[in-house]
Order: sequence, then C-alpha cells, then structure tokens
Amino acid sequence: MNEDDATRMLANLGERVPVGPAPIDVTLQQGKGNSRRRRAIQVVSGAAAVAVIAVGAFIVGPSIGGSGNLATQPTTSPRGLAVPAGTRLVGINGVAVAVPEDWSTNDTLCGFALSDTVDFNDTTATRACAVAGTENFSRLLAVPLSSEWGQAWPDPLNGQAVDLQGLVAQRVPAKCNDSESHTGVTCSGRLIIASANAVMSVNSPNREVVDAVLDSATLIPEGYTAVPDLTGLYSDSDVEPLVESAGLLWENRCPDGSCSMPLIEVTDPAVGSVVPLGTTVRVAHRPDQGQASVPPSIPATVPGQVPTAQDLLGQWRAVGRLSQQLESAGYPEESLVLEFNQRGRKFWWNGNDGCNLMGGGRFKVGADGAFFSGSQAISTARGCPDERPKVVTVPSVVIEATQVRLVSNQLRLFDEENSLLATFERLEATSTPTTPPTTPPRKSNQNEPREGTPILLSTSSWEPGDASMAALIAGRIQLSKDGCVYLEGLGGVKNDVIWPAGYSADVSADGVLTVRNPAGEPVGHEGTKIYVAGGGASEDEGGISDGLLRLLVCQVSDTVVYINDELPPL
Amino acid sequence: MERDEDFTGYMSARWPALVRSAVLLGCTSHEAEDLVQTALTRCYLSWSKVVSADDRDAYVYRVLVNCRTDSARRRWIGERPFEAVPEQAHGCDGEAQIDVADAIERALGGLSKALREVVVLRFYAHLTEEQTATALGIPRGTVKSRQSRALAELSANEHLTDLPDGNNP
Repeated sequence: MNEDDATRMLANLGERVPVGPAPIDVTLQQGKGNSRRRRAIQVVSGAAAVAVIAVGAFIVGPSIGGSGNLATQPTTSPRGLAVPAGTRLVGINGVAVAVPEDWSTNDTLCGFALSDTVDFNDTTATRACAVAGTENFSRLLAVPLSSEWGQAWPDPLNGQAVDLQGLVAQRVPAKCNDSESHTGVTCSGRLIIASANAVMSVNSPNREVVDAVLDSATLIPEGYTAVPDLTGLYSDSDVEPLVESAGLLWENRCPDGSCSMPLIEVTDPAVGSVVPLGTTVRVAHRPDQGQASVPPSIPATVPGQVPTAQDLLGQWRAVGRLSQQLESAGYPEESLVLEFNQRGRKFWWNGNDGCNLMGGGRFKVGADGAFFSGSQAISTARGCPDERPKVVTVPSVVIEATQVRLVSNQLRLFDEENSLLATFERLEATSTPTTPPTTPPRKSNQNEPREGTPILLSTSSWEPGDASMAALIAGRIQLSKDGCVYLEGLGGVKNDVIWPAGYSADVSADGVLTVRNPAGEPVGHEGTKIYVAGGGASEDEGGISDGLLRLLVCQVSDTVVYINDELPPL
Repeated sequence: MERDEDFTGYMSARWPALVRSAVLLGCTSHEAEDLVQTALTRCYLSWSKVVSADDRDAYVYRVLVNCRTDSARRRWIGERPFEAVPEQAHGCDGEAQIDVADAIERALGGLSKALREVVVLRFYAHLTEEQTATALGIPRGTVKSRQSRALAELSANEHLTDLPDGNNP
C-alpha cells in the first residue's frame, strides 16, 4: 500500500460518515459558559483560602474495607475549597459535596442504606430482593444524570433553578414523609446539574442532613477530579476510558492476566474521592481461585466441606427460608431450582426468578471455597406482570454469594459476611456436561431437538408482520466469556441483541454456539455475519428504556440492538 | 465579536473534516461530533492562541487528539419505527459495501493508536509531515517512521487483502 492507496482508502471510509451541521451556536454558548465558570472558581478559591488553612491541608481518604490489601493513599484537599472539619468531599463529573467523614461507601442492599453511606452505583437495587426497607440511615446517591437512576426522577421539572458557581442546577428541596412500603420517616432532596451530567440525591431521617449535604455542593476546582466508580468492572477496556476521562492514571493489579476473573472490588483512592489530576488509582480485584496476590475476603470460618466446581454439577432445589419465601409468595416450582453445568472446560449456572427472566453465567469455585458467579445477568422482578411480592430469588442469591460449602447432602451459599444466604438440596444425580438445564417454558418450540446446551437469549415479542424498525444492523454473532450472545458491529463495537420471538441458542459440547430460529433451524454460529433490519438504543443516545432492559438476560454493552427481521437459515 | 466571527467561520469550514477525522481515529459518529465540539470549545476559550499559532489546523488537531485521549468511548444508534421493512433493505451491494467499510475499520483498528493517528492526519486530514508532527507533538522524523510502519502494516493486513477483487479500497 502506498500513500495514494491510503488516501483513497480513508477518503472512501470518510465519505460514509454522516456529518450534521456544525453546532456553532451551542459551541459558542458553551465556550462563553466555561469562561464564566472559570472565573467563578477563581473567586471561590480566593475567598476560601483562609478557611482551608484553618481546617488543615490534608484529608485522609476513607479506608478501604473488605478484601482490599491496598494501603490507602492520602487525599489532598483541593486547593481553594473549604472542607468543614469532620467531613470529606465526594464528587462525580466535576461536582462535589461534603459528607461526614465516617460515612461508608456503597454500603447498600436493594436500594437501602445499611449504614450512613455514599452510594455511587447501587447495583443491588436492581436485584429481585425484598429487603424490608428501613430508613434509619442517611444515603447520598451520586450518579450521572444519564444513568438509569438519574433518569428515574422527573424532578428537574419540580426543582428550583439555583446557581452553582456559574452552572445552572435544579434544587429539589428536602421533603419528609412516611413511606408506605418501608418503615420510618425519610426526608429526601436532590440537586440536578444537567450540564455536568450529575445528580446528588440525599435521603436521611434527618432533614438537616439533607440540606447540609446539598448546601455544600461545589464545583471541583480545575486541577482536581473525582475518582470514578470502577467497582464491578472486568476489563482494561472498561476501566481505561473511565479513568482516563477523569484525568487519572491507574495501576492494573492483574497486568499479566493472572486474575482470570478480574472483577474490580475496591479502588484506592475510593470512588468519589476528590484528588489531583494525574493521581494513580489502584484497583483490587475480587478474590479468585489461586490468586495469592489478592487475599480472600472471607476467612475459612464458613462451616462445611469445600467443594470443587465439578461437585456442584447438577440440579439443586432451594430448601429452608428461601424456599418458604418463594412458595408463600406464589412463585412457581422452577424458581426454586438452581442448576450448575459444564460446557467444555467452563462451568455455568442457571436459575430463574419465577417471573420473566432467568439469571445465569459462568461460575468458579476457589480452592478455599470462594464462589464467584461471574454474572452480569442480574435477575430482576421489576418487570413481573403480577403483584406478587418481590422476594429474594435464586439468581439474586447466587449473584450475592461469595462462599460455597457442602454439608451432608446440602449446598450452602454464604455472603461476604459469612451469613448463610440459602440452602439447596440435590434434585437429581450429577448431570453430565451436556445435560441441558431446566428452563421455564419459553415461547420457542421447546420440543424441537437441540444439539447442545441451551443458553439464555434475549428475545422480544416481535414476529414477522409486526411493525418494524428499518435500520440496517450488521455484525458478527459473538459469545462473551459470561455466556452472553452479542453482536460485534463495525470496528468491533459490542451490541447487546434482542432477538425476535422464539429465537434460541445453544452451545454444543465442543463449544460451538448456534443461534436458531423458532423452527429450530440454525441461523448463525459464533462469527457468522448477519445483515438484518431493526433498530437500537444506547445509553449515550437517549438511554435504554426500561422495557428494553427488561428483555435483556445479560448485558455486555450499553448499546442494545433490536432485531425486527427474519434471519435466513444457514 | 471579531473572535466569534473568526471562530464561526473556521468551525463552519472545518467541522465535517474534523468529525470524519475523529471517526477514523476510532470514535463513533456521535462521539466524534461531541469530541470535535469539545475540542472546538477549548479552542474558542483560547482562540487568541489558535490565531497566533504557526499553523491553525495543526493546533486544532492537536487539541482534538488530546481531547480524544481524555474522552470515554461512546456508541451509536437511535431509530424510528416503520410499519414495514423495506424489501431491499440489505441487498448484495449493500453487504459488499459494508464488508469493505468493515475491513477498513478493522484494519485501522489493528494499528496502534500512534500509527493510526499518523495515518489519519496525514492521509485523511491531509496535514503535511510538519503539521502532523505539530499536531501530535512528536518530531517530524517520528511521523515519517510511523507513517512507513503504518503503511507496511496496512499492506499486510488480512482484512484488506481478503477482500474480493473489485472491493479493494
């Protein structure tokens, strides 16, 4: 290839890029706004300098609990910001508030604080658990406005416009009321800073706490940034953009890939810490099999025999408290079943929430009994069509579990605090690696012969003849390490896929993925290119609706494509 | 106001090329527009520096590349429903074009970030070696060596060499 070839090639590709009109007015407006913001920060910096000296130059960042073996880095107070004694700054997207220093981080379950805490990403709130919510603790939820949580509040319409050092924000004043579904009185208030894509929402039994936290809101001065939330991420490609966009460096604890499931559990400095640009963020991963570099989070105090993954293969039925809860709430029998199986050299689990979705993914068992579900397939009962109580489900228990033990004929799952989550008893003899798991009735033809182990596929009710979206969707069918079928688009961009009604997928004993149409005919394998009609949505382009999210059985991307077309049989 | 007029003229003229360059650097189209807007906003804030720079384009591309380094990747899409799928929604010609674009995209994606930046700035943005060196903050000799390596890698790239005759870019 010579220079002319390269020029022609790039021109060819460049021509395909649709370009809208230049947003000149918006850019000018933004530029003028940034000028005002810079001036505002300089004024605040000067006024607050004396206060900083009085408070002291350093704030020690919150210690990292759990398994983290990271020595906590001291966090310097941003120059020019007065941080009241006994508080620390926590921030997101350029905005920070002061919270009491002893508030924990991300200590929540099912949307409720388990202590006074700062919550950056309450993933547990999407699980189908029925924690009796109490409002005894204060919680700051700091999330992007574009996130699912951020979009959940219609408050910008109800708020009052306030000036935040040159930025327009919406302040929803503290309001206290008795909650019908939870015990106690709770007060809540919010600050929405749309231009910074940030929401600070405070819940507390104490109105003054809500007001004090929101009153302390400030822009993070230039030269500083907030540590983004990296917990729960797997790979460098997920972490790197977040860290870099925050102006930080990061230290990969598993640079050589020695962590086979490098799920990030803690960071140092902690998420939300306000630190100088260029600070190195160190991450620690969840304990994994054979990983001496990261100590297990649970000492070997959980009673029972440590099993191997092979020992778990087969079907198990919930007994005891979990069983009673599910049965009394009217959940079907299949929702009590947990299945472990093996495909090739990998181990997988399946369970269903008795409602509309199934949970599942890979799992591992460490030599010390550490259990890792490795699943992004969060079971949710929010889309349940009925009014059954939302209770703890088998998938949510598996996702929560960090330890597994065998006691007699029972399988016991424990959480990270050694508390027993659930007990199961074996339902049948150990399955062979190719035994298909028990699945609830699906719209696909279950009686069609299948050559491999079924895996979960996100499907919709769309059938040929229904109203369709007509965008061309092109890409290669791929299977993630977690068992998620996705579409790799142009340039390798991952897209979650919602397939038409009745589509299914399975993996053969030798690991070959096959996607099938409702008639059971193969329409694609891993790597097969497809060209179909449909549409899509992404977090960055207006967000993914709850309706689409409910259809997803697992997620590898923040873009979802929705196939409205028939795939031709191979 | 002179600054606004000058900036408006520059942005109108360069917007398409900057957005397409950002796409070729690896952004999605929407991300590219956001990225270029961010870069141009930064330029607006320091417009006097842009104007006084020896090479205005090289300066702006340098800001663009720096912004890209800072930015998170974003993705695409947003469609409206239609009653029926067009019969010829994806004919053979469309597929072939997609394959070519896909191959080029993958070939570019196979280059390191440094090589890709040189290729895009030299052969799409049509910056000279000197301008590219300024934009990337590297010596001119490095531009030449990276350009040479990039072309060699593209020549051997299987995504491009596997394309059927007539579909080569």
